[in-house]
Amino acid sequence: MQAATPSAGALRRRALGRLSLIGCLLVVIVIDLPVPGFNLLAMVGVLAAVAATAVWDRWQRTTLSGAVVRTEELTLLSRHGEAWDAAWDGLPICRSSPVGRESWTRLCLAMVRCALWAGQYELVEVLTDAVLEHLRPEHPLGAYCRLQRSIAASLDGRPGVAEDELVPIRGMVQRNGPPGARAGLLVAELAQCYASNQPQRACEHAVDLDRQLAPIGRDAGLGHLLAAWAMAHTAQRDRAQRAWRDATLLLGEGACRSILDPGLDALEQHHD
Amino acid sequence: MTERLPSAGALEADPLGRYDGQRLRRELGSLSLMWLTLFTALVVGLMLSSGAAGMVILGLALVFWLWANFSTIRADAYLREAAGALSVDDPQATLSALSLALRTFTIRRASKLLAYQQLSVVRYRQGRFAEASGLCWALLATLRRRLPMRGRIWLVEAECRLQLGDLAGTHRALCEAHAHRLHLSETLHLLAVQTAYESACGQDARLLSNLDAKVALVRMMSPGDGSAVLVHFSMAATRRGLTDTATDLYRHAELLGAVQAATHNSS
Repeated sequence: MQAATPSAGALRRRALGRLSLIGCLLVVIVIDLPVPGFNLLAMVGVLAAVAATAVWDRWQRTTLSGAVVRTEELTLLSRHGEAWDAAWDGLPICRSSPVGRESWTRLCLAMVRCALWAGQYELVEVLTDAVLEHLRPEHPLGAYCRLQRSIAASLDGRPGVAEDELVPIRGMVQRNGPPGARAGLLVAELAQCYASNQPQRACEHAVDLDRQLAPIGRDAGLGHLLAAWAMAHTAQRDRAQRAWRDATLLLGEGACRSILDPGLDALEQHHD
Repeated sequence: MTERLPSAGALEADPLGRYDGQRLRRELGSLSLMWLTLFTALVVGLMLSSGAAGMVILGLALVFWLWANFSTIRADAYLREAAGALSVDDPQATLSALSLALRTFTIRRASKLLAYQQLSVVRYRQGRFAEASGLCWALLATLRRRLPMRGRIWLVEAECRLQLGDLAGTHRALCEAHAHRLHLSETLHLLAVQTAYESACGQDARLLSNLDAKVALVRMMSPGDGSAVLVHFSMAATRRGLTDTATDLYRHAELLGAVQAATHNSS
């Protein structure tokens, strides 16, 4: 991942390349002044070089934006394997593109999503590490990355690690975080209860879930699913069924079953 | 979709008042003239390049070219900023970034067109549908027939026509949008507009046809748009007596939030 990051050095080299091209053009003009007869060819050569650079830039820009859009669309369609491949196609171009940093972040975040839904929780940590390294501490994406890391750690059965991820952002998100971040925090806390097998505590968190989770749209399905697990384990049959139905409405039944495979026994007993 | 409208204060502070379709045509004309002048200067400079006059002309052209390129890069950065603000629905940030993008000189025709396309979306969200529609027509008149950007503009035009109560115009714009190859996000947008149109026409059978596939697409939409579409489906199901389906769809819409606004818009 690090190799694909457009480092400050790469951007400096790129700027130097451009400056040297401009320098060459100026030198050719100055040298050509007293030499009639040769200047036309030299000028045309340099202009051709400038045009080639512009075409190369444009090609890179188009290819990169195509790769980013394709990755994000495939992620949205839950075709995670293909999305992953498309992201790998785009990452090397980020090194030299003028919009590389922004595209690189978008590709990484799409990969984080793929890895999370495909159950590759260690990859989530590696990818979010790479993104966090290049963000300012107060950047809103920082909180988003930490929430994803916490959810991944919980679903991977490591509640301690999940808590460590939440500690630095919990206060800030609760005090003045946007509704989406607050909803994400609630899902992360429910996932932590699931990992540490504390259904009672999860039920305490799962109050007024509809309103609290609405800002994150489809992703709220995970929150409803974890609430269903907690309610099934605390013998709240009706509420568990309602939460399961809400989760399947948002995510689809297949996705719900793949996420909460081990926790399904209690839910199915209630269904029967 | 009126929940996106900014406050009255935001409208008063609108710095984009003087940009409309006529201005777009004038600006594109000036841009073509600028390219022609630059090309002529290059040819004349090369022809006279053995003398000092030719070198001066080439030097001036080069300086102008460098300045124009730097300015274009700045304009493109403002455009990216405006697109980001537009996607997170921040009207003030969108207006200020777009105003800077429109004021900054650019040599790229595509940047100019993109700025005006974003302006049409801003006008739509401000509830100034006639202005947005005017901008769409000005853009469509200047774009080549097969350019993918046309699909996006037809979608905005369809939304404007729908809000203005012109169902025939909406139908035409939707047909034109269908004729283009759209990205997934644009396809989702098309589904949202088409659902609102079919609901306005009372075409319940069409609304409820292929419902599972449509609901799968709704799961990919933003919560606000998804909620509005589901409310239309739910109302159509109620009218056709499919009570269970209607209850499920309404509950799904509730989970995505903003049901009151969506219900208000669809009624």
